[in-house]
Amino acid sequence: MVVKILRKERRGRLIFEIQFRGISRRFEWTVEPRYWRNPIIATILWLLAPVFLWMVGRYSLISTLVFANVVAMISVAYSLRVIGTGRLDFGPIFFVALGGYVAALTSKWYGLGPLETFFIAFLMGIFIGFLLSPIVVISRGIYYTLITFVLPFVLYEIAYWRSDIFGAETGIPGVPPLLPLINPIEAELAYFYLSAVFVLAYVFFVDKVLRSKYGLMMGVLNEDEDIANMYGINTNYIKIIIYSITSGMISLAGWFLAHYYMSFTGVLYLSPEFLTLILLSAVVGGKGAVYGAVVGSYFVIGVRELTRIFLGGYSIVVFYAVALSMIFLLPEGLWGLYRKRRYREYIPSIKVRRKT
Amino acid sequence: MGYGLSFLTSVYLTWTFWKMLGFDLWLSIPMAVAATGLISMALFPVIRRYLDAEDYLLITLVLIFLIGEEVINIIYPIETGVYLPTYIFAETIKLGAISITSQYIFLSFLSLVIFVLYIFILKFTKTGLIIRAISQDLDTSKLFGVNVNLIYAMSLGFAVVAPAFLVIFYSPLTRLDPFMGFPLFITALQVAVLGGLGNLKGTLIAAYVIGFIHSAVGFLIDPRAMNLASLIAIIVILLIRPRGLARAESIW
Repeated sequence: MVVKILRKERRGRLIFEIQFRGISRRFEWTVEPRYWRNPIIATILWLLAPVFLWMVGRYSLISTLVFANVVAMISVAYSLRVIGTGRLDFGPIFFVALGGYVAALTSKWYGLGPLETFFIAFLMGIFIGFLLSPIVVISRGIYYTLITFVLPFVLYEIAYWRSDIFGAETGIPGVPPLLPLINPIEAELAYFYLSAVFVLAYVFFVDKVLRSKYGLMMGVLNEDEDIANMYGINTNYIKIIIYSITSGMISLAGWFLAHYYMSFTGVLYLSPEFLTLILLSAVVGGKGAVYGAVVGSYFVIGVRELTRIFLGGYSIVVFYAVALSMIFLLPEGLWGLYRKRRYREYIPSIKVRRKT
Repeated sequence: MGYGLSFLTSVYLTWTFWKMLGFDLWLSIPMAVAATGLISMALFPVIRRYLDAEDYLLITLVLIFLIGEEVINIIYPIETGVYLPTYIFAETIKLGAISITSQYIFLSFLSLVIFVLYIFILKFTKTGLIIRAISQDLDTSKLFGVNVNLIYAMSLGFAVVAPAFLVIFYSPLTRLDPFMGFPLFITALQVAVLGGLGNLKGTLIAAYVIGFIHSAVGFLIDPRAMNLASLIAIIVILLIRPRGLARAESIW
């Protein structure tokens, strides 16, 4: 049997020709995101991945996939925030810790279950995001980035100052599990699918927003905030709404982590290492690309896990070196590589503002 | 973002030159400081590549910092017991009810001397004038024939020499470990942002404001709330004065 891959006859299409005992058949494959075939296949493979790991007995890797999903949740919301505010934000981890602390403390103090803490963490994220949203109106450029970079350290210091409440490095134990499952493997699978539902919901929501008229406004805001104002777009309104909503979305990642691990150690998520994971996921996936944030999260968490398994003490250095190489060699990101084959502007692209 | 690495490289390179390569301690110090400056200058191609993409630049520098931190941790883990006996004055002075190590007073004077030196270079030398010109308008500076790349690289080296030098004399007063760079960087960042990026007068005022907040909160309320108080103060002040206490990018 001879399998011959012919050259692309048209852009975005691969044509395979299989020859077997004189009989030849041609297959066409459309490499184009707007056709649903590839995304559906990718989604099916993604959803079958933990089942495959379960079959080959690599149970521990399922929890890696769950963590990748949580990082994807944060990265997708973060991408929307960066697009919607037109500013580079270094503070998403603040809201991860906030959501986790709210879930853990309300569970501990009031005996609330995951469903109640879900709403409380989400609403608290939105509320605190709204309270902090003047930052997004007042500050620009590098000042905004640095203020948001400093923001998580406020929570970090509070966690150590009032370690009797926040637990500092020991965390807050006794958070009720998200799913009442006894079998750990079944529980991991269930957690994977639950987190996957969150990722899909986030992607769907962000995609819808970016394709709406508000997405168009965000695109203008990204290009030039002053021009957007001249066109009559209420940029402050958009920025505050997006900042608040994405704060709630990111808080839910913290809520998930608290109930998934049944304890919450916020200082772990307030570290520059965790921030780097989020930023890398967004950048390696493709700057401003919503689908790319999911791909980037899996890539980043995958590489981190592989280096941890195979390289031991050198894993962190190699992981960061790989990430650095990715940024250097592939500035458009993994999703950008896919898009470059046939460029179309599906969603507003990010342009980092340089005005200070 | 990669600034924290300069604290680490100067301390650990001093140790390397002194203990590992057998140089005299006082010779190792200028060698380590010079090497730190050169490392910083060597990063210039990376910075030039991302000058117009601040997100990539900041993430890249964070990664370089984290890689440097981990490499130092692999070579010199905490158990190595890195220690630099760079005491100039070891005794303790009593000022009324307060006892203070003489090295702190020496460090304060040394910092002020270096600060004045930087002001002099930036305000009264031709190089300083060129640096200010680039800061004002890059394209116009190019039109005037300024070798922008050279000045950028020089500035990078110039920027890390002072902290690299000072941290060596600060090291006997603190615990040395491969992860000491980040807290120092955060404090430096607080001062720089509060003062107004690029403004030395603002930086000086901000350093005293942060220092005063640390001391007051640590003495009157709770030492564990020192950093928290300064962080909250910075956020509040920046909401009122978004570009810091002094006008940014005006040197003085």
